[in-house]
Amino acid sequence: MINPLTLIAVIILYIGCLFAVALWVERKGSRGRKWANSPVVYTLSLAIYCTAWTYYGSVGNATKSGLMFLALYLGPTLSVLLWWTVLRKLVRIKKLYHITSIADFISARYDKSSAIAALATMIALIGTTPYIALQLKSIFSAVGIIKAPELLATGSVDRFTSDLIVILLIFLTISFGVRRLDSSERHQGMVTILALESVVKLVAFLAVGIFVTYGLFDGFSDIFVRLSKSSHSYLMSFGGKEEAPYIPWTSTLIFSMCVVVFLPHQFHVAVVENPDENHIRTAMWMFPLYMLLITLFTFPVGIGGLLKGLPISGADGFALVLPLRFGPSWLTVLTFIGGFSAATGMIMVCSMTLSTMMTNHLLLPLIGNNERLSFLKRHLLKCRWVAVGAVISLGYWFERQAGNSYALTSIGLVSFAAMLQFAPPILGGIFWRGGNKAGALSGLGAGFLVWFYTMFLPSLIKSGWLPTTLLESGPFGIALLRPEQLFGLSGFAPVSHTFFWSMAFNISFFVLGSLYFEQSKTERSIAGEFVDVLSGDSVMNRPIQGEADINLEEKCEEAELVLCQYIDKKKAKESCLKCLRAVGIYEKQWIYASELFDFHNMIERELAGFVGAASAREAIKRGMSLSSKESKEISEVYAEILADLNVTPADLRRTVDFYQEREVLLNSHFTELEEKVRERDTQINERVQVEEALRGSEQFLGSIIDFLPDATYVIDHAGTVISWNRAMETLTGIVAGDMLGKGDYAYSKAFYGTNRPMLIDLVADPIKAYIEGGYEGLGMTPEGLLYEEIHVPNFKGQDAYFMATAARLYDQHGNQAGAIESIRVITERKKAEKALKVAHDSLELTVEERTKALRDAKEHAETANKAKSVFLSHMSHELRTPLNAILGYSRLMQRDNTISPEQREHLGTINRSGEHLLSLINDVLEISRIEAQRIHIETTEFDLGAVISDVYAMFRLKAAAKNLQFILDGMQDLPRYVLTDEGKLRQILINLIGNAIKFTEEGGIAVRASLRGNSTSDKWLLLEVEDTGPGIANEELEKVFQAFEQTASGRQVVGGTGLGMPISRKFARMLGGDITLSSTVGKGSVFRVDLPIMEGTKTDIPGEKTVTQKRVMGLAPGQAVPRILVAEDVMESRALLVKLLQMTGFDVREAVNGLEAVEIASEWHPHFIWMDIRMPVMDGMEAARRIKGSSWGEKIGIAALTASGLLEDRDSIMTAGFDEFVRKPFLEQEIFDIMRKHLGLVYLYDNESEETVSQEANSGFSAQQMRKAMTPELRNELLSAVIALDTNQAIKAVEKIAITDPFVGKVLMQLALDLDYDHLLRLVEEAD
Amino acid sequence: MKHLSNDNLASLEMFLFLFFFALFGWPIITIVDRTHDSSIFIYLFLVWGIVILLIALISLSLKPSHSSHGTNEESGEG
Repeated sequence: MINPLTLIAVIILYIGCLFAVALWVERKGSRGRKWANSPVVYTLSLAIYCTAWTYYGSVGNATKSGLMFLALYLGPTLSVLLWWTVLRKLVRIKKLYHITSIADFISARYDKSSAIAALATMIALIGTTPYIALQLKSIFSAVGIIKAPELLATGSVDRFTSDLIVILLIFLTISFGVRRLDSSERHQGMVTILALESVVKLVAFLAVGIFVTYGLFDGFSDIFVRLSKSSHSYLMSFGGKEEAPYIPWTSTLIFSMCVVVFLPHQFHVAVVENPDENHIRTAMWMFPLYMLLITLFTFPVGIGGLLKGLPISGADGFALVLPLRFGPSWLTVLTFIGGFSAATGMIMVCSMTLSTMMTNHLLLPLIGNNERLSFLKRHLLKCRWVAVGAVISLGYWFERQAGNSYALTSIGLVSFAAMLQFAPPILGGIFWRGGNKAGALSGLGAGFLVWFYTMFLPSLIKSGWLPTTLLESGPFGIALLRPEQLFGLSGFAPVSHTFFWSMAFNISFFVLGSLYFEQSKTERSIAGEFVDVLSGDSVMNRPIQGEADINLEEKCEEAELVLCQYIDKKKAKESCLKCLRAVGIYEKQWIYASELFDFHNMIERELAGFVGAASAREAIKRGMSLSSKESKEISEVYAEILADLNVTPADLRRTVDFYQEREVLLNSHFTELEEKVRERDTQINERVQVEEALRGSEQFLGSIIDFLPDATYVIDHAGTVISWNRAMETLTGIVAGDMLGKGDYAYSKAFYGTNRPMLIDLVADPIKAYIEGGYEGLGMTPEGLLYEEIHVPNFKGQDAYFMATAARLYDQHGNQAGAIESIRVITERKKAEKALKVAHDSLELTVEERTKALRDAKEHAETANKAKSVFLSHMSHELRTPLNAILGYSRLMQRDNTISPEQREHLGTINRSGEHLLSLINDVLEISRIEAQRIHIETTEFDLGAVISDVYAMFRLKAAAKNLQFILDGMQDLPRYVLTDEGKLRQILINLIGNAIKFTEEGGIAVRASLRGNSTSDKWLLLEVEDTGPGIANEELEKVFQAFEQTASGRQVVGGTGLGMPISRKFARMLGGDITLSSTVGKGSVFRVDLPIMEGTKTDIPGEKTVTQKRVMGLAPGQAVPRILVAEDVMESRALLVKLLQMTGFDVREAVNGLEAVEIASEWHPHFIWMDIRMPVMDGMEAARRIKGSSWGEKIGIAALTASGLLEDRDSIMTAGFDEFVRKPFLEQEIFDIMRKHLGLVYLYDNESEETVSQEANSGFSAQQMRKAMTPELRNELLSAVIALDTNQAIKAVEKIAITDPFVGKVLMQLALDLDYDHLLRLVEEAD
Repeated sequence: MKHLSNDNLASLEMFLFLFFFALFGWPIITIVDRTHDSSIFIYLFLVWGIVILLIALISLSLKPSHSSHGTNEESGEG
């Protein structure tokens, strides 16, 4: 089953291919290459004789009448024997008279009669219509079979499909056959298509035949044997069941002899489209051979179908059905295409030639008789298109009406019989001089009427259009007039019957009419020309008579006017010039009458090519008449010729015309040759110019290559050197003359001393060069250029390096034409690269060494830093441990009320010294931690105003003691709560204010606080501490912030480590701000602190309460005595803490190392453990870890005691499981507070000890003691001295106090001697 | 091959035409067809082949016509 869509696609593709071929051929033809002029193409175009009737109909015929169908092809084969005479004659006449169709031919022969032309056209139209219908029917049936194979007998298509096919055929015909007006011109594209279609249908039918004969059966003999045994054995004859088959056989033989040329479309391809008479020679054997081949398998296919059980009613479709049912799909498609080709070829040519006949012989005479239609003369081409549509549509209509009543063979025979009517007038016209217009007209008419009556009318009756009584009884019941038994002739097949009677009438009337009526002079003349067209042996020169006094310009205008009636002005002018050249009067101004006569004839022939001979004759008669003088001169010329030659006028005319034609042909040939010579000259000139341009281009290119600074050479595709530039000469020392033209790698010898491939060869011939090898370091640029770095150890005796770049060269067609290589010397560069590499290696080594040294240095530094940290830690520990003991014992001893005041004074001195030492240690450790970046910011939210006020209060008395004005300003503008590191801010303020008071002797200190910045995220706290001190020189401003540096003024003041300002600045910077200083010597300094702060959200901060520090005297009664374990390796420290705790009432045990602590704790289960970190055997961290990791020690509180001054140790210590962290030296209060917190203890306090820790720590005696020791007078005296910084006065006052209380006096004396006015002032104020 | 003259050619053509017409016509064809077997098929195609062969030989011997060269009718338009 074939998909209809596939079929449509194949058809479209096939038609597309035909279009493409036609266009290609016509385009080539327009350039002088006329492919369609081939004798093979001519012969194949004749094969349109084998239409769908042959393709499908003959198969059907074979199943009914055996080999009878062969008569249709044997007849033409016999007629071919006469073609060299008959067909050649027709072709010759066609060329002489510009014949456009068979009707035109008959008309031209018989005095260019319009009536005969019109009658012949009518006969052709009516007679051909059934034939076109036959072709259409075959296409529709084939499509129907493909669509519905089961409906074999009635294969047909729907109306839409058939309409579409018809439209397609009209389009094809107009496209290829009716594209221009001059019908006598050849249609190369269409002829080529016909030839192609003939090949396709032959191949297709042979394929089907071979498939059936050898695929479905075992060859011819098998088919014949089977046939002889079947019920169809009667088909093995030339007539089937016919009783007297020789009658239809013979009649078919005869009329097929005629119609092979006289069918309108056959006449067109055989005569009108003939480009060369000699092609007939090829056609004479090739055309019969074609017919033999295409019919060879017709009989086997038909019989095969019957033997395969296919119904005989569908025999016309056997050729398609057999491959469809039993064969591959491609064979079915091929068969369909073959049938399609057979049908379309005939339809195209037939409708085309009929359209020409209709316009020339029906329409134009009508226009001539009706002026209102004259406008159509200028639209003849369009009229032909309409005629094409009308012809095909008429055939389509006939197919719809009568198609189903007849088999293909029957329809074809109807047409053949009609076309047979052309045989007598044509053959009589070219062989019998006596045949004339009257005879032809009457013969044609009679024959056509008989055909119509005996064949066409019965077909209409059989189609049901007319009553059958006419067929059975004859008109008016006259049996003798029965259409198929005319005059009682019975026993004949309808075709034979029509053939007999139509020919009898036609020939009879033709002969009798010609004999009865006399020929006109012109007719006689033309008859002679037709009969003797192949003869004509004498040559004569026409004598010139009279004078050349006819104005050619006027005659040309007349001619153009006549031509313009049918064609456009441009074409008319061209035709006129063509005639002038043909006659030989081009460029003449005045001509002879005889030349005018020739010109008239030429114009008439030219016009005949457009409108036919009859219409052309009429047009010339109307538009280009001769004057009486001109006629007379012409008569005289011919009379003289006749007299000289003693020949008849007809002979003379024939001879003249013959040689005129020869002259025209020769002139044409000459013109063509001239044109070719001109073209050749042009080509030669162009070639010379191209070669010159090429040479110039080569020279130009050569100059460019020569100019290149790099050594460059070029080879051609054979490897021969064709360019060797100057740089190459310089490099190699070989001049171009010695190298050009050399091959076989000769160029490489200059480099390697031997012939071997170079880079250029790799691009020129990659495979060969690659095989021979020798390439290293190849690379390719992004543009595709190949490059290679070449090392030649011995180039001119030296080590040399080259950079070669090579590329292919292409010609204008894209073919490889050679290659180019450029060579650059890079020896110096390579040397530099080598040196650079050595330097680079050396540098790398150096860098590596330096890096290693730096790494070592860094490691050393880190080790040193670590050692420093360890040292500081150890030092801190080692210093704090004794300090812890010193301070602790001194304080412990102070608790003893039994000691003397003097001893208490000594203890106070020890305590203060210890604390001073501790402060120094703390400062050193602080700066050390800052430098090691071990200080962390601890942001908290706090009351800013409270902090500033606290610090201010701290120094207020001190400032007063020095009699300095101390102002705090801007507090009202500050937010209450801020987020920053409170401790560091406090430290900064203490340092700055303390420093200012320290260095200011008169004037005052102003502390100003303000806030800048609007957004909450960008607020800055600005604190200014301004003093009226000695000021600092500009060059010393930075020294203020450098550790261990002192300014000139600083050196004058005793005390201090010089670390306060550096620590403050570093703190400020850690907080994101800075401290700046502006100072004027002698006027004072201003320290500005800028710190970014964030405004807090709290409204109140809980827990801020004043802790009243009272001295713990013991445990409150009613509590169980807590068990406290003290683990400390240093005996002094351990004893101090143990004593303190025991004095307070705790049950204390001690351990000297961690392991012992663990053991005691596991046995004794203390409530709280004080654990030193650094201990022998087991350190405190491990001990704490073990205790906390045990089941019994999990809830025991453990506090770490460490002398390490490094805060970062706290984190690592706490992770070991400690609950608290206390740094040595510890404060009693810390110890007791921690234990109260963890054990919930209640202490007994000494009420008299209610004083600040600082007071106690600083002075060693209480404020109460102070008040007792001095009278108010003494106190005021001392206060005045302190504020006035009058040391002498202060000493005097103290000496008076010492009389009352020597201990207090001694302490104050020491302060006065130490110039510690701050302390003195604070003590005095506290005592107030 | 020697070319045939026009007179000889016409005579030969006519002779062959009539000869083969006779071979393809009654009564010979009826005689061949008398047995109603494949002989008629073979006969017709065999004679046909011979005719073609003869025509081919004749066409080779035909004197080429010179009057047909360089016709001015062929279109450059196609």
